[in-house]
Amino acid sequence: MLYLLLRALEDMGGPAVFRYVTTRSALAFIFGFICVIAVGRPLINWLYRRGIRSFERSYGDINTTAKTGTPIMGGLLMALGGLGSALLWCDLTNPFVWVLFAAAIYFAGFGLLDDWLKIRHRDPDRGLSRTAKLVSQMIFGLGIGLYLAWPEISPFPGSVGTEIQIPFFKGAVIDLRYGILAWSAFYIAYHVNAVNITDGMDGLATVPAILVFSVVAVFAYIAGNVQLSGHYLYAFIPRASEITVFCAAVIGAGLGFLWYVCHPASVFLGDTGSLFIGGVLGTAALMIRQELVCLLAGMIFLVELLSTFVQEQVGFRLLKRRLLPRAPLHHAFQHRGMAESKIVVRFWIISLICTATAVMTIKFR
Amino acid sequence: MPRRFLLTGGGTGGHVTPALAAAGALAERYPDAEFRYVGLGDKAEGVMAPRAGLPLSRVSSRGLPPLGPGLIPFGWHLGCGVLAALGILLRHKPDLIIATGGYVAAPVVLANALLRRLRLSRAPLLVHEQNSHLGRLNRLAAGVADLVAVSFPETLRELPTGKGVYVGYPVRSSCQTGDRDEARRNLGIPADARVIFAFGGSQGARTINRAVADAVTDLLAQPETWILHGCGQPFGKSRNGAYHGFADVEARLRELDPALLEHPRYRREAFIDDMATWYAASDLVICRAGAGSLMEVCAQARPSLVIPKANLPGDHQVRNARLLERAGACRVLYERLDPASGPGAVPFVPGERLVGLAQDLLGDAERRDVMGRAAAGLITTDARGLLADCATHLLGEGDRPTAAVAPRYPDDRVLGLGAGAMERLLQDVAHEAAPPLESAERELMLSKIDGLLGSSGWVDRARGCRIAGLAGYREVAGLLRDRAADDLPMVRRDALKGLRGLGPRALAPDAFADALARGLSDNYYEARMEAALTTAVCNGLLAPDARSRLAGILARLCRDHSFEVRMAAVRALGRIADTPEPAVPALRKVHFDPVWKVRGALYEAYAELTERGVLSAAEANEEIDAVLITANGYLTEYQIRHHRNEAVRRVRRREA
Repeated sequence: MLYLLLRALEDMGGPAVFRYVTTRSALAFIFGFICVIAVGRPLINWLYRRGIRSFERSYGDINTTAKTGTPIMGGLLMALGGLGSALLWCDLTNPFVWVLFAAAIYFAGFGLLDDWLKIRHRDPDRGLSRTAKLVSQMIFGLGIGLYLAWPEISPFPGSVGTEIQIPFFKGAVIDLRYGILAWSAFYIAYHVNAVNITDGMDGLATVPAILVFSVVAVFAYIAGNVQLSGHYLYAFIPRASEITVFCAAVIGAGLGFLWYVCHPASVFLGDTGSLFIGGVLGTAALMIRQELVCLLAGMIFLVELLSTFVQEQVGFRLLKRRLLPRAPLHHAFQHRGMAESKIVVRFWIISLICTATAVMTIKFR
Repeated sequence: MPRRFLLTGGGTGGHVTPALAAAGALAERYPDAEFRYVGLGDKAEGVMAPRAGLPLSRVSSRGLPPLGPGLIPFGWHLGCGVLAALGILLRHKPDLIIATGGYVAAPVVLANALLRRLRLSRAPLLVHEQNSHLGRLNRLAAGVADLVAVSFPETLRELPTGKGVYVGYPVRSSCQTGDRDEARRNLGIPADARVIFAFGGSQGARTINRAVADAVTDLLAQPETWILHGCGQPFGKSRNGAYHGFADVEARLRELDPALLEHPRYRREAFIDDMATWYAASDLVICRAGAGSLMEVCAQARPSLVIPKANLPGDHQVRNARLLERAGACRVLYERLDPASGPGAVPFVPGERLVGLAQDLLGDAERRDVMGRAAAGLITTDARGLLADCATHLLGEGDRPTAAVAPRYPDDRVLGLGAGAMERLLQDVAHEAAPPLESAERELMLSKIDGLLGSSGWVDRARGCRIAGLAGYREVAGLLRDRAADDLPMVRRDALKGLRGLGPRALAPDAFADALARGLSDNYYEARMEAALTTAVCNGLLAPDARSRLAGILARLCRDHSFEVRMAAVRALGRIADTPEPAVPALRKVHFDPVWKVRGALYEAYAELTERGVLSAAEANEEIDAVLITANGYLTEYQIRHHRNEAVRRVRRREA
C-alpha cells in the first residue's frame, strides 16, 4: 500500500527511490523484523493466556515434559509480521503477489484450524486428519499448476510456466506441459509436510526456511530482471522480481521469530507456522520456476521427510523393523544423546552449505 | 386419533425383548394404539416381532466394519436403510420412536434426526440400553434422544445429567419366577436333585457348550446332580458357517463318551420353548453375560456361573457380569484363547475349571441362597411399567419416572481398554502410580492378552508380548520363547522384552539361557538390545556356565554397529561377567566410543564389576580414568519448572 502511495507521490515530485525492488526489499526485511519483535511478547502472552499451549507428548524415550506448556501457533506471529510488511511494501497490482498472499492465507488458515482442533480436543493427535491435510495441500497445488499451465491466465511467457529448469546444466529444461499440475500438487504437499516434520526442535525449521527464502529472493530478482536473466541465461519472467520483496518481508519476519524461538524457545511455530512456511515456500519456488534449486537449498527438509518415509513405510510397514534408530532424523540424533542445541546448530550449518551450493548454480553450469 | 408407535432395534434377541415389552405395556395403556416394528427380516426381530403380532417394516443395515474396503457395502446398506426409514417415517408419522440399540436401529435413528432437523417430524426418541455399557449405536442415539432408559444404574455415569433414567430390564413375563417343585415335577426331576441349567442364548454359545460337554462326566459323577443343557440353534434360515450348537455338542459327546448321549440325568435341547420351567427347576445357571440372560436369571433369583463373551465392543458382557459379581450374585469365568494356535483360535473355558466352580456352588446351599437373594435385589420389579412411563412422559401425558438409584459399583479398570491403554495401566501399576490389579481385573487382563498374542497382526502380537511381561503372565513364557526365536523382527524384540518381565524362573533355566543366547545373536538390532538388557536384569538367576557363555557373546556385542546394542551389552557385561577375562578387554574397546551413552554405561559396568568383586578398586579406578569424558549431550533443566512443581506440591498438600 505504501508502494502505491509513494508511487503516487513520486508522480507529484517525490523521491523515486521506492520504485526499486532492492530498496523496497531492504525496507520490507527490516520492517518485517521490527513488526514481529514489536508484537511478539504481547502476542505470545495472549496465546498463553488463551490456553494455546503445547501438550505433553511421549516419543518413546524422548521426553518433552520440559517443554510442555510452551505456547504454540507462533506461526501467527510470523505470518502477521511477514504479510503486514509485504502488504506495505509490495506492488499490490502484481499477480505474483496475489498468488503468494493467497498461499499464505490458505495455509496459515489450515494450520490455525489444525492447531485449534488440537487445543479444543486437548490431544495433539486429534487435529485435522492426515487425509484432510493432504487433500487441502493437493487442491492448492493443483490450483497453482493450473495457473502455471493455462495460457489464458498464466503470467509466464511461452512455455516457461510448464518447464522445469535443471540446475548445473546450461539451458537444460524439461517441459512437463500439463504434467505440471501433478508436479505442482506434489511439490506443494512435499514442502508443507517436510517443513511440518522438520519443525520438531527450537529453530530447526525456521533458519533453513529463511535460507531457502533468500535463495528464492535471489532467483526471483534475476528472473524478473531482463538484463540479469539474459546474462545468466535464465528464462525471463516479467514482474517476478516483486517476489523478492515478498520474500524479504517473510525473511525479516522469520528472523524476528527466531528471536523468540531460539533455544530455549518461548513459543513454537505450531502447524500454523509450519504450514504457512511450507505453503509459501513451495508456491514461491514454483512461481520463479526454480523448483529443483529450492529443493537443493532445502536439503534438510528433504532428508527429514525421506527419513520419516523410510522408517514408516519401508521399515514398519514393509519389513516390520526399524531401519533408522528413530525418525525424523533429528530424533535419531536426540536418541543418541546429542543435545538439542547442538543438533539444531549442526542442521543450520548443513543448511547453509546447501544454500551456498544452490546459489552457486547461478554461475556453475 | 390413535397413538402410533414405532419400534426399532435388534440383531439379537436381547435387543428385541425390551422393545416388545414396551409395546405390550403401551398397548395396555393405549388400547387403540398402532405399533410398527422396523428391522431386518433375517435377524431376531424378523422372527420375534411378527410372532408378537407387530407388523414388520424391513430396512437394510449393517454393523460397522473395521476400517477398510468393507466400509463401502456398509455405506451402501446403511444409505439404503436410511432412505427406506425416511419413507416409513413419513408414511406412518409416528408419535414416538422407541429404539433399543443394535445396528438395526441405525436407519430409523438417523432418518428421524434428519427429519427433525428439517422440521418434518416431531416424534421424540426414547432409547433403551440393556447392557451396563452404552452400545455404539446407542451412544450415537443418546445424542439425539429425548430420554435414555438404562438397565443398570452404573450406565447413568456415561450419559449427560438429566438425559438418563434408570428403569431396569423388562424381563419377559414368561420368565418371571416359577415354583421349583412344580417345575421339577413337570420335567421329571426328583425334588432333592441338584440341577445345573446351562445355556448360551437362543443361538447357543460354543464356549459354554464345549465346556459343559467336557465337564459332563465329572459333574454327573455326583449321583444327585442333573444337567439341563440348552444347546441352541441358528436363527431362521441356517446359513453356511452359522454355529449349530446342538450338532456341535452331540459330536463332542460322541468323541468323549457315546454313553453320555443317553445319560438319564443329562438332558439336552436345541431350542427351549419353556425357559421359565427350566429356570425354575435349576439350582445353578451357567450362561453368557448378555443383559437379557442375566436379568432373567436375576428375576428367577438363581445363583449363576457367568462366562462373558470376550472382546465385544467396550467389553460389555464382561461389564455386566462384573456388576453382578460385585453384587455377589454370580461367579465369573473368563473365556481363554490358546494364543499358540494363532488367528482363528476358538475361545474356551477349561472343563475342569467349570467343574470345580460348579461343584463348589452345588455343595453349598447357603451360599447359593445368598447369591440368589443378591441377584433378586438387582432388578426393578416393574421395568416394563417404568419404560411405558417414560414413553407417556415423552408424549406429554405424565411425569417423568424416577427410580432413584445411584451407581453403586466402580468400573473395573481393565474393562474396554485397548492394548496401548492396558500397557500404560500396567506400567503405572509397576511404578506404583496406580493400585495393583484385583484378581478379577487380572483374570480379564490375561484373557485379553491371550487375544493379543493370538492375533494375526504383528503390532498386536508384539504388544501382547510386552504386556504379558508386564503382567507377569508366566503361563505364556514358552510361547514368548518361541516368538523370540521365530517371528517378525519387532515381535522378536518384544518377546525378549516380555521374557524380561517374566524372569528366568518362568522357564527351565537352560531354556531361558538358550533363548537369551539366541536373542543376542538375532539379526535385528533391537532384538539383540532387548536380549542384552534381559540378560542384565536376570543375572543372578542364571547358572554359572550359562553366565560365562552369555558373557562371551556379550563381549562380542560390545563392538556391534548399533550403539543401542553396545550400550546394553556393556551394561549386561558389568552385571554378568564373573571373571575379568572376556569382559575387561571388550569394555576397553569402547573407552572412546563416539556415542557418550555407551561410555555412560561403561562407568556403571565398572562400578558393578568392582562391587561384585571381579575387579579390584585400583583396577577399576584405572579403567574409569581411561574412559573419554566429553559428551555432546546434557540435560536441559528449566529452573522455573522446579519452582512451579514445588508450588503445586505445597498447594496440593494444603488442599489435602
